[in-house]
Amino acid sequence: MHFRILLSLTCISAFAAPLCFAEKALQSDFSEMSFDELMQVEVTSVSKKAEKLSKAAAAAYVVTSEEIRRSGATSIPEALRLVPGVDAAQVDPNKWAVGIRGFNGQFTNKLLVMIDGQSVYTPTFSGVFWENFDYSIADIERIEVIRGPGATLWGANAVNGVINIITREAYDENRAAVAITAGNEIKHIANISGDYVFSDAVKARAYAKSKQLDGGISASGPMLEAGRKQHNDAEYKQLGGRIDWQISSEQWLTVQADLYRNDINQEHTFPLFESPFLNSLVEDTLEGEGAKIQARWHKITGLDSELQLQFSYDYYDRVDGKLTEHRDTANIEFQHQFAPRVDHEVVWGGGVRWSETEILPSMIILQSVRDDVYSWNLFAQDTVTFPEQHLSLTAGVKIDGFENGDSEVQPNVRASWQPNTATTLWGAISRAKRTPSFAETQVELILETSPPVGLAPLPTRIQVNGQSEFGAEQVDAYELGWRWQAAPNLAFDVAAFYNEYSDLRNYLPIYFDPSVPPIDVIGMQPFIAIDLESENSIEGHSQGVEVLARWQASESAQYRFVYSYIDTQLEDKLLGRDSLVGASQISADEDRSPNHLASIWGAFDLADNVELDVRLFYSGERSWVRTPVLQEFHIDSQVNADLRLSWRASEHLELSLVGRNLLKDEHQEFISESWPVPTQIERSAFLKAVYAW
Amino acid sequence: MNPLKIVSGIFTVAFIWLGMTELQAAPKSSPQLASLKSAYIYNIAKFTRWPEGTWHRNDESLILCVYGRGDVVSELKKLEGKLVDSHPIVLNSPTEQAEFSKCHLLYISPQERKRFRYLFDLLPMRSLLTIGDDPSFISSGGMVNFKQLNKRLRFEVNMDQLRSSDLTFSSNLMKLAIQVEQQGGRR
Repeated sequence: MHFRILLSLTCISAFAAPLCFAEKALQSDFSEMSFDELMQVEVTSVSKKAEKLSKAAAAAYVVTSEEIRRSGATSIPEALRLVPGVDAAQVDPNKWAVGIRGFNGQFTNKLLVMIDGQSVYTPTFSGVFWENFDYSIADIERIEVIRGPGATLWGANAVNGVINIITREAYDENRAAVAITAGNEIKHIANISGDYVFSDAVKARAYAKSKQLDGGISASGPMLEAGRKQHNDAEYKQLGGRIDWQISSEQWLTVQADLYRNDINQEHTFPLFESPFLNSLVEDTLEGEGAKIQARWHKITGLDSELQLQFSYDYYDRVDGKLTEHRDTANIEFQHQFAPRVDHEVVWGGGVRWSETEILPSMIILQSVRDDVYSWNLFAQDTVTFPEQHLSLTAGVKIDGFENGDSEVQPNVRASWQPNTATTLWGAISRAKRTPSFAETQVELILETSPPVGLAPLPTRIQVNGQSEFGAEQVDAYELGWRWQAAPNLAFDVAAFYNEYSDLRNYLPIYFDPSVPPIDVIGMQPFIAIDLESENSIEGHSQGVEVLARWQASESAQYRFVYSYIDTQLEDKLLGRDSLVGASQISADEDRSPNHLASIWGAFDLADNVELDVRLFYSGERSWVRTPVLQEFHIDSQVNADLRLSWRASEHLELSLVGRNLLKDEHQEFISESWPVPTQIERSAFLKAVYAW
Repeated sequence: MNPLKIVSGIFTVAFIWLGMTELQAAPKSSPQLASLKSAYIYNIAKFTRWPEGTWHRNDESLILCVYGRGDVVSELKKLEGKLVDSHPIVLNSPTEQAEFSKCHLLYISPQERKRFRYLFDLLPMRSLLTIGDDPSFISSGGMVNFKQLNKRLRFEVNMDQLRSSDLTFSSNLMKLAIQVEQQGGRR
């Protein structure tokens, strides 16, 4: 007994897991047991594995609904927080920066984010407005996170990763649930949802959600005082639902719709066009509203073939100091999956997308711009399995085409090998593109103003201009991975990558003759005009590794260890590495994401109806420089922790207490890349009650 | 003292304490749901009578078919060679309609839930025992479906389907089953 305790202490304190699983890996052969004995075996509801991804030749992770529940997440970025290889950092109480494999920022542009297969990134800046992207959290069935290029099947923008949120189908029985959350930073979240079975073939669910968040506390910044209560509280309202209709035994139709209205307070440091001509603190409210409708039709065309057709339309209206925009987008896509021969699986398809936008003047965009774009895509992928050799090979290509005749070809080759049932080795080589955003091709944004200095009699304004010649960014990615089920209760997943980037965006100054500087008049005030233009001039590489270990230490304790490392090295091919001009973007791309991320998640079932989740997480330092002003941004490396304790009081009622960022009174996680006002996130706690019947 | 140190100390102690309490409540075995389901399927087969003339010889195989992928499917592979009465189990994953007619028992993975009805329309059902693992399996026309109840694994039997088939379940099996009438009355 003493030895076992000692061993257990070693296991837990040193996390020397491989030494320890053996004694717990006792397995009985159920098939030798009688029915009566089998009936007595107690089963703990183990979270379902998404088998589709466990053998995939890609660095994939599935966040299950159980994980989302046990994490206590109240928003989608929170649910992504400790996912292997994902850097989810809170910018302020209502904004997040979510990145995979580097390049993180509030306006990250190298990820494809989708909900139920429908892209939610905006072509305006190729990123996601996370603050306007919410859902009824308990109705998310799973989140698939793919690190690395996923362009062939998923689509453009999947340069460094894909996040696909899948909402659940309606239940096969009538149900309802009310969830109320309240705490110091979360003023309230109220969520009501219901499922209704109309008939054997038709079922539906609906939800409504309202959320109110408290503001944060300012961090110190250039000319900004720390410790001030900030104007960044927020109110959200959203409702939606879906209908699943099995039309006949081989076809079914899903229709889903959501709409939201958010009022989000925020602070910026906007350029002033009057004295003192400095970027100054501005309080502002973001009014966001939007709606989406989506219909998906499936038809089974054979034992191993299937057809899918999807249509969607969405719009958003966004009014704030940065961006006042109305955008409408419509999409039609089809996909056909079939097996032309034994051991072959082919998926091919295509789609057409139309998107129209109108941007009206705001505090940094002085001219209105309109645009409408048609684009199309075609893709095909074949997976060949060699059962004798336990090998499978995948080759595919996707072509994205645009109105102006441009097209982007994105191929990939993948292989996976299972030398035994416990091990999968995989490798992939792929090319992905990020198509230019609207901002990069057509929009003019004023970055900053500065007062007259020295001999210059006029103030200066710096503006970035989109440029119609700006082209797609490209990555060639080389990946290797290893999955190993070392024991029934211990599994490892390791992935390593080397990404070669070319044609990444920089903003470079347009040169002018210093003796005759260009003048721009804003209002009545003349400015010396310094214009920067988007240019495909950055190239370089990143490399890294991601490690995940899951250890079911006992029936009632599960540990998950995550570590990821990345190193990014870039340079401007026109200016080299050491030029001050154009170094901002390189510095931010390289160092705004931490080199190291790590976390430990212990999930314990203290009793039949009591759960404890302890999450410790580490994030390395972020520090980058803005040139030519040499403004430095620095965020220290940090350790923090979340705790969740829940009690299932009855069959219907679950109560939970969640503590967030418990190790510090307040801390700073991120600074937005443009017009930032640094914020500190406070320690917080909330209570949640879920009543379901 | 630095609050960081205090709290990380508390966490460390909590981790160790939890580790120890777990050990005291050391589990007899860590029940793997998939292998439990596989054992159920084996036992259900033992208590099922297929119609006369299904087998011509006593040592002919019982063909256990699987459709779809998943951890239960992997577990079922371990049943290969085990005997049901005198019939050794042979595993098969049919991909063509004709192959299904050779199956005595068919397990359909829950991932294929969208295909339940399609399959039941396609397959000769009279002497095929279908087993599934999804809330919509029975209402789609499946015969036996797993269900968790009070932390135990149980199974439902679709009485409509059973009556219209040529299969017979032993009374022992029926005693353990949750008997349900198929809602919606397909077939």
